Amino acid sequence: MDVRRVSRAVFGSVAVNKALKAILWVFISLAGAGALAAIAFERREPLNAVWFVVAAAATYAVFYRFYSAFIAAKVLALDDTRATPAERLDDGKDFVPTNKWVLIGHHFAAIAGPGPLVGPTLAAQFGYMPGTLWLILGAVLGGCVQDFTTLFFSMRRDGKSLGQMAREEVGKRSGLLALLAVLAIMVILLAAVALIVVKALKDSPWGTFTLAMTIPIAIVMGVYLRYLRPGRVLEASIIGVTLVMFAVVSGQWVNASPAWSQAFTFSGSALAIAIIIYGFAASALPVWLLLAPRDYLSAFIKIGAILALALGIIFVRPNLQMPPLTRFIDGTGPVFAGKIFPFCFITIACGAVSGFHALIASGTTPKMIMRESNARMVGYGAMLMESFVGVMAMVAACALSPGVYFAINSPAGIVGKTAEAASATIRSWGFAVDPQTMANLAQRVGERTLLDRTGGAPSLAVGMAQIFSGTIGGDRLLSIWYHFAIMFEALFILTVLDAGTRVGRFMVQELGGHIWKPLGRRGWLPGILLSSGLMCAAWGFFLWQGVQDPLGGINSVWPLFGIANQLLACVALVVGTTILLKMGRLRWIWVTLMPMVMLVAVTMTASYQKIFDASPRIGFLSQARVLTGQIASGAIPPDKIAQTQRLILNNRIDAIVTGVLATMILLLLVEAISVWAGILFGGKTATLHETPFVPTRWAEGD
Amino acid sequence: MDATTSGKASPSMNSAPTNSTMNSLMSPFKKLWWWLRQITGDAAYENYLSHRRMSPQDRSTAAMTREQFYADSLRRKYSTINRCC
Repeated sequence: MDVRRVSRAVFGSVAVNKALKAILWVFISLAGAGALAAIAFERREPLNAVWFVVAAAATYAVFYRFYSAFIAAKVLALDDTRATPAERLDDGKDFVPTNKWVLIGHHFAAIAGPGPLVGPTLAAQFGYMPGTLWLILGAVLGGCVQDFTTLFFSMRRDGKSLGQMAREEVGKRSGLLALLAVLAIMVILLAAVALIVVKALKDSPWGTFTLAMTIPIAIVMGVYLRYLRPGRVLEASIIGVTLVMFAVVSGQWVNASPAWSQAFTFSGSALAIAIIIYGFAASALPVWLLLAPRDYLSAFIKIGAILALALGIIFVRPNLQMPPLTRFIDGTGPVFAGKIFPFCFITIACGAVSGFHALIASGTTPKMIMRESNARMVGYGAMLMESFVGVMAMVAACALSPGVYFAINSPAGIVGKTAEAASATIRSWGFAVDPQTMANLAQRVGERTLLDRTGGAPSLAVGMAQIFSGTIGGDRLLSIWYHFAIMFEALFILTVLDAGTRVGRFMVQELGGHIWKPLGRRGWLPGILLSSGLMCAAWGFFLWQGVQDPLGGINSVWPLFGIANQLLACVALVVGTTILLKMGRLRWIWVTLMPMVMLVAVTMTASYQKIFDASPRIGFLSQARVLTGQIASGAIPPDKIAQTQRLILNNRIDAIVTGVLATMILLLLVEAISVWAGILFGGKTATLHETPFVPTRWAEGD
Repeated sequence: MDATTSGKASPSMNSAPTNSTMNSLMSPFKKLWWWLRQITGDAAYENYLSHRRMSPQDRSTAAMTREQFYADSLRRKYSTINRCC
């Protein structure tokens, strides 16, 4: 506002002021377009991280200023004279009119988890270009639109959930499909993130000790918050963060002591069992004891670490060593198999388009919006911030030397079991790396080995540690920064795990309540134990199969998660398109229709390839066929036959799960298109289930 | 706490509730502190009490204590999906 006043004083005319603004936006647009072009076309020398920051920031600014304003004014027609649910139903608990700067913080903390860090790290195997462009453009045209529109539609319906909106606006079957999609994605998501923790902590006493210590720390905070100083979240968080920092630092002494490091060294299988037991306990115990304090802790550290990463990247300005495109665009990538289309768009869900956000945008956030116009900043703006987190993760991964990146992220089943074999394979791909470099690096970050550490977390932690130590501490603190990064990723993965298992438990109880009444009672102990157990068994199954998979597990579990997540995005965009049509905004339905078509194409292609592709690393069925053939031809030693038969079964189950997810998308589309056709051609009256207009009692400008 | 409830509007005044509005008179440091307390949930109980003061219809029931309010808010918060990937 001051700028406007100053420029008006200097130039004395509104027209000049307008012209200056136009020039400024032309300049920002050109800067963004130039930086995006550099990312897309620069081939000669390594690109600096500054290009990525400029490309992202300028694109976000332009799309926020113009595209989100267009959606707010024309497509949705936000109306500040209309009272929001927070105003009408204000109860001081769920419906609370909240300042938009506070609400965007709440919303961002809720949507951003480990996803935008892991996905881009994995997709870096294609080179930096495809992932970065998808992160930036996918967010401004898809993800932000999905979050913003879903938030708006839910706000116009007193905060109804996505499932309820699907049932009311599209049809009964869509409501059920949405409910099942939510449950499916929860199960697969929990397995995928748990697998990442297992891969990051396997044979790592320092990391395991630090993460284990967060459990007693959370309990101390929980007791403090419940009994000593109820609800004093800031005090408890400061105590908790201090203790966690101490746990990170003291991990090095655990690592140095032979006896202690022995006690905290676990195999992948042991860690998987420990995490399943933890998930069960955290979801069945009272929330104040473990779940809530851990959530406060992780939200605090999450925001801090993301800010630190942004400052670090701006301060260090690393060159990206990864080429813009690698040879693995042909689908033979070691991190995960499959070509850019569709697998880059499946691997990076969070950060570009994430269907899960639609659940948050139709959950607590719409009940807290003070004015309709705030939905633009909260819905569209928070997703821009998550997209930027994804771009930073991409920068951190690509700032590593590609040889190191592939050495960390390639499973032993592909590159070979020994350091020599792995280095030789990676060198044969054209990326320089040798066993000594990897051993040195592992020693410098305080790990035994960095080879075969699939899942993205360790390589991201190495990347982040290099950036952080370039800012503070230099090489001396590299190991502390590495374990800080591992702790921070693992911490909020565990938060997703326990909160997710608990919500999943409620969903199972609700569904179970239809079959047998007592199951539906939330406080009934046998019901709690049974439903928690069922939920843990479901995600535990996929986790276990990932841990046992000789190809590293990520290759099968992460694409499943991406497909499930994008399925949910399809649900949200189908519901959005239907509502726009019913609101008479036919002219503007391309806003939600365009990302919807893109996601349907991506999910359907990916599902088809994951089931039927002839390459055993991509297609579940061909993998099962190859293994069956190996057993038949006697290539498998007798003691491995039982294990191989389990692998065959797992692949078949994965194929069925993928098939079910794809069928759900098709059913949803059929139902939605018949509703659309009815409105457009069948002369059916479109009944909109919006809460009737009530004028606001608040004066303008608050 | 004063920062969040100062200049409280009575419900008859047509103004958005001050517990959720940044007071333009606050110093930047106070604003940041206010924002931090709001965003972490540290100020939730005070917001609840000031909400009750402003809505006469809620006064038929006794206000929850700080402890009860904390337990109740956790129960509501963790019954629905509130964390994403």
